[in-house]
Amino acid sequence: MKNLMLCTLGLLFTLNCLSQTNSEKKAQNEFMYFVYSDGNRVTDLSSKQQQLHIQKIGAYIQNLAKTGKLKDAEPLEMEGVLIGSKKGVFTEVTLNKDKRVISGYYHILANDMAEATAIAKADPRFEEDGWEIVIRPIKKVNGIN
Amino acid sequence: MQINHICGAYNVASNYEMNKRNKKNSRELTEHFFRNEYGKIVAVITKHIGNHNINAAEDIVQETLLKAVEYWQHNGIPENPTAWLYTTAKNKTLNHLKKNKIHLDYLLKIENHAIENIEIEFSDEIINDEQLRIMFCCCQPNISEDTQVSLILKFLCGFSITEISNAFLTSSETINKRLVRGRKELRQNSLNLKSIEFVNNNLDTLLKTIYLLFNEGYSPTQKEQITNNDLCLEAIRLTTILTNSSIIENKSNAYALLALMYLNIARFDARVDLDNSIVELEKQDRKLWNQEFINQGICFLNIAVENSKTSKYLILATISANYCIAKSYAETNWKEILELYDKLIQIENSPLIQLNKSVVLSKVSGSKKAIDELLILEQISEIGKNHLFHSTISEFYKNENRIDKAINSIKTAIKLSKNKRDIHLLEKKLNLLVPIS
Amino acid sequence: MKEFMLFIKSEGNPIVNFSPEQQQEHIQKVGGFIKKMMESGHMKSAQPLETEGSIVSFKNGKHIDEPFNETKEIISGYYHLMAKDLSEAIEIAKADPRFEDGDWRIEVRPVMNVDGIN
Repeated sequence: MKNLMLCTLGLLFTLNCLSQTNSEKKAQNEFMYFVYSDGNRVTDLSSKQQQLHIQKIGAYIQNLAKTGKLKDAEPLEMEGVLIGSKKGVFTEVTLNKDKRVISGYYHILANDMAEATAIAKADPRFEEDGWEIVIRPIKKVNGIN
Repeated sequence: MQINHICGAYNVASNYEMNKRNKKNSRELTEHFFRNEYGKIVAVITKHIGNHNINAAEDIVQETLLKAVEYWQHNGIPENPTAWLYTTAKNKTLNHLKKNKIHLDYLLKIENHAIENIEIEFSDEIINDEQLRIMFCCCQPNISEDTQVSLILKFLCGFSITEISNAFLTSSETINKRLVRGRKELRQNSLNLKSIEFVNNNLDTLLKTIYLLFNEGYSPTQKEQITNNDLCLEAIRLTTILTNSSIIENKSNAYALLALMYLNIARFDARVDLDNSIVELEKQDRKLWNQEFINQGICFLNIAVENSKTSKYLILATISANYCIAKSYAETNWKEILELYDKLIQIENSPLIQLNKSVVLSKVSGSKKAIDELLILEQISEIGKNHLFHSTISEFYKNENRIDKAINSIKTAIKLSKNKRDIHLLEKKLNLLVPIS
Repeated sequence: MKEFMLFIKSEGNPIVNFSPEQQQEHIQKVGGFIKKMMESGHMKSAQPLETEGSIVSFKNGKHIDEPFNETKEIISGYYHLMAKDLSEAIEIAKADPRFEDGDWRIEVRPVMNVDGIN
């Protein structure tokens, strides 16, 4: 009986090790987060709040970098241009700051969409209203690249 | 700051990645790669999901190619683009099979395999055999010839509906209707490539369709030069599948057709002028003829002749070979070609072949004889409605110094012709005949 | 050199109905452009995005996470560009040959420098 228990334990231990190694070897997928706001929320805040906001998010990003989940993260200027082309003629439309705009992006490494979503939800910017993060997987082809 | 250090490290890494990528990016795709792979992948996938699901196979391939576009334009052409496509298509097919349990019924009738055990292989032999299977499927007597050609171009040659309709100078709707009808008829066709009788009976239909396809590309009545060459090259590619196949035993007709096609396309570059007008055989710069294609054509001709049975393709190929090996127009062996035409007429007699023969006859027996023959031909057939008849006879009248008749014939030809390039050529000739006063 | 993010936008996929032949040409054109920009040091990265995704927001004290729906306009990829100024970034965007292949739009956004974050 004791031998059987030891065997089972040994088996469980081995299986556990195997599964851990497997999840470590699991391919990391890349995701882009587009951070949307209605206008630039940061400029609406008081300078004290702005500083707090920057520190909170800065810390969050640092943490992501430490755990190897972050490839890149940048905020974007609230200016820009939308370029289109109709029949060979280019059109340029200036960005409308008052509409829903991309205010920044993150480039994240995660195991899957579920983990990517969990990471997004941990973003402290959600402590204020009006933010949205759109998560888009970067196209990867399994087993090829 | 720690984060800057990390970002710095990322920059170094990304530069390295960038340099690696730049080296990858220097790869190019061979011409028509996507188009050719389309047909191969569709063929192999239908092996696993069934002929009646060829639509789904096309969807899978289209998705695969779109994915390649997205991925390759950003990340460069992969080291083995073919393998990339095949792997992606395989995965999509397996997903399709899993999702559509209805098709399990189809699979179970054939083999009792679980989906996980299905091997979707893309070996050269399988690719060849499956394309061959689709060719035979599409070229059955119950399907009209025009539809056969449309089906082949769509499934096997990766042409879009727009490209097909441009090639045939018809509308997309017409082609669409043909494809819908063709797909219905495809489902009813049972296929037994293992039966020698089946293969022999249907090989002729298949060759006829491929020849039709070749002529659509070769005939100068087509509008777009670029489409011309593509159709001819596709016809050659399809015939090569036949000659490479282990399933077909008697390949001499296929080799004869290959010879004919190579010998004809060898003269492509000389046939069109800088201003996109047609250059006739007499005036072609023979230095522009592709000697490699001529050699290839003669090589295939020799193989075809070994099985000495005479066929239309063999005779036409031999005629073409005679043109190709002559050092100049004047030194062409007209007598030999005339004899070949007489042999051809015994197998297949048509006004158009008689018309082509008359040109050779004029070289051997004089223009007057040729005129007499053509006038008889006009009486007993509808060839008078073809602009080629009038343009040909006008040359003979000119040689006989009957200028008025020559002018009238060209004017008739211009009226009957539908193609701008033909009209342009005829008008040039007319200008040479009309006396300047 | 300043950094810019270029978002590639379109309604649906303008090349979805292209023939295999045209798709191959598209790759060669746009791929060639991207490669050229990388060689000249203008492009840091260029990636395509999957059409699925999700939207995470926070309402009434709770996180909400819903699937990303392809509304009228989708971002199908991005370029991470280096350029002297916005004008140069715009010129580079206009040189993208994808404009020859359908109704594409490119949004050009300068990357911000904020102390503490980057």
